[in-house]
Amino acid sequence: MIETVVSLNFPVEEKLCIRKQRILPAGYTEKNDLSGLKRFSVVTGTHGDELEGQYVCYEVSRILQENTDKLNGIVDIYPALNPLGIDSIERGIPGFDLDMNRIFPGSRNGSMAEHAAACILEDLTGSDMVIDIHASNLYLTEIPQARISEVFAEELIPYAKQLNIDFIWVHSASTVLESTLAHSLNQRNTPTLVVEMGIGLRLTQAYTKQLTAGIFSLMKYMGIWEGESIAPRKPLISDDNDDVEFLNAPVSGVFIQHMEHNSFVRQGEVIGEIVDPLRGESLCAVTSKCSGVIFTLRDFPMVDEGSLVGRILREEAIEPDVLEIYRSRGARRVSSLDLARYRGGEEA
Amino acid sequence: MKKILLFSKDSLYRENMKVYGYLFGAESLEEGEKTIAVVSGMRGNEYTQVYEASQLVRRLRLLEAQGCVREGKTILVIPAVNPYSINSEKRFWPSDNTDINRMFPGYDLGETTQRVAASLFEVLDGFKYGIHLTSHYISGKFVPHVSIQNTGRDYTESAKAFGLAYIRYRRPSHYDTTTLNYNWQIWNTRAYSLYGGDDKQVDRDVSDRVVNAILNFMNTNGIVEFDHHRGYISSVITDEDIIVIKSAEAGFFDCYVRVGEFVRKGKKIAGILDTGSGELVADITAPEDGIIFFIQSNPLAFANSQLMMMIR
Repeated sequence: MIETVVSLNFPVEEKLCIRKQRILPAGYTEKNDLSGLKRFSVVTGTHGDELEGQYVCYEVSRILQENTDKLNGIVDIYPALNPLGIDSIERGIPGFDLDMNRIFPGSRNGSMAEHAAACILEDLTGSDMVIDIHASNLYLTEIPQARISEVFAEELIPYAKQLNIDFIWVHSASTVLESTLAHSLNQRNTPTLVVEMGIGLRLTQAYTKQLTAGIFSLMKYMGIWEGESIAPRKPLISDDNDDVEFLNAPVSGVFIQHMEHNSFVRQGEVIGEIVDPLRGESLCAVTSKCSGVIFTLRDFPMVDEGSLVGRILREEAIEPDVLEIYRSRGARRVSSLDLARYRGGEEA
Repeated sequence: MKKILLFSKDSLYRENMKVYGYLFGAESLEEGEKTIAVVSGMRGNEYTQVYEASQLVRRLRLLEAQGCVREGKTILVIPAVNPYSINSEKRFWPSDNTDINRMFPGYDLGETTQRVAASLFEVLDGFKYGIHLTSHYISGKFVPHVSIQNTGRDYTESAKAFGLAYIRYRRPSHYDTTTLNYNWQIWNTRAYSLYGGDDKQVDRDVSDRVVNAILNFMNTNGIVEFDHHRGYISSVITDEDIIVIKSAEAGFFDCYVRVGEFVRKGKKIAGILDTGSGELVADITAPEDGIIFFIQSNPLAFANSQLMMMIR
């Protein structure tokens, strides 16, 4: 059943409509008393350039609609919180300066975006779980991960472990992040997990299938789903800012990956190089300052000085059994270039 | 006057981005008291604000030549913090669309705009007074006014030295905590944001008033010395004094009033026209007696969106 959460008039013969699909257990309709049922919500598309969640929404919806007899609760799916941004391939809301995920809780007295944010928040509040799916941005690829504010970590980590993701990143509280949808919901006692995975403007099918399986695993854990589910994989977990090493481009140029995303890298190994195509020069090698797992890697090649190139979870922060899996895979290189000249990073 | 390179940023295919400051009353930033800094052009479409800063440089150069900058006082004016965005006609950073004014206090090992913010903040650190010429997130025209974010340091009285009609003392939202105004205050600079003309064009009338207001402020605070008009006796307004005007209907926005105008409760101040038939579909009336404080520049009205603001 398709329901409209927000409907606001545009100037020319159109409405801004934010819609959700509500799926009920077999035998139920909206006319039944639904108050005893748990509610599970999946939202995505706050940023118009993040599309990984589209496939997850489709798969979850399709599987549930074919198996409502195995469903014990309400599932609400919101595939496009920012339909205008998705349509115009724009991260934000066209014509509106602020990031949509920085205006929550919104305001019914505010702009169109703030009004929409207030309606969305109102509609989601009271869910027993909300999964807010993001897809990095145009520049960086991320392994499937949950990002959790330390304020809500204790409550949310047990749920996140069911999501079949590779990494749980508990970050310190930040005032600016208090304006996100997830923070506003968690503050209203509506448990919300933010998932980041893949890259902007693309569907990474392996990741979307991995998360879809995780959503069913979590629904089963919560008693909402009785059908098949997998045993979720064991994620990396970090709750200390010092666990993560940030790699920023030291110069402007074109970044060429030498290492694959989600690889284990040793200290001093070259992750990529930055080159100047005009002069035919390699400007510098980007080397890892620690050993660990590259969980973020730049895919978009143009870099300015300071652009984020990658993030590495230090090996000290990884549990031995998980570390062993990564180590056994080894460092996966994407090119057959002569790396000898970068050995030990002496040219960085 | 001395034009100094404050910092630069290199690029693969463009010329390096150079951010210059105009210094008055000193030969270098290391010399004398850091008295007042005026910052502009942080977004690429803040043309009025860049124009204001450039006219301020012109006026200060004349005053300095006449010996009107008081000894021991240092004035720094930065007309364009973000030349890359101005030159590519983008409001935000060209390659990743981030806003420098959401990156303070900056991080010198962080992402590009965090580094620009950090470089700028290093220059601005230690100034006694800081003025940011800036624009609202909704494009439009304000009554020229001073805005101060309420971080618990109440120095609104000192803003009366600008001689502008209004001083807006407003509660910061979460996303304001990364602006220059907010962080300047945390680092003990008295920060003032000046709003006035619309962006995307140069509003010379508003610019003249803003430049005069800054010179008034400098004069009252003993930074420059010359005969001048004092301006208005300012009123301090808070969030409770502001009424947001919206329309339930969408269409063409036909505004009948101008900023600064006093209107009585019930007066028709705008209409919404159907974009197909051209018919009036909604009247917008003043909900109370008050002053029109802000009017959006977009000729289209989106339903439930902020179109105007009034002061009660």
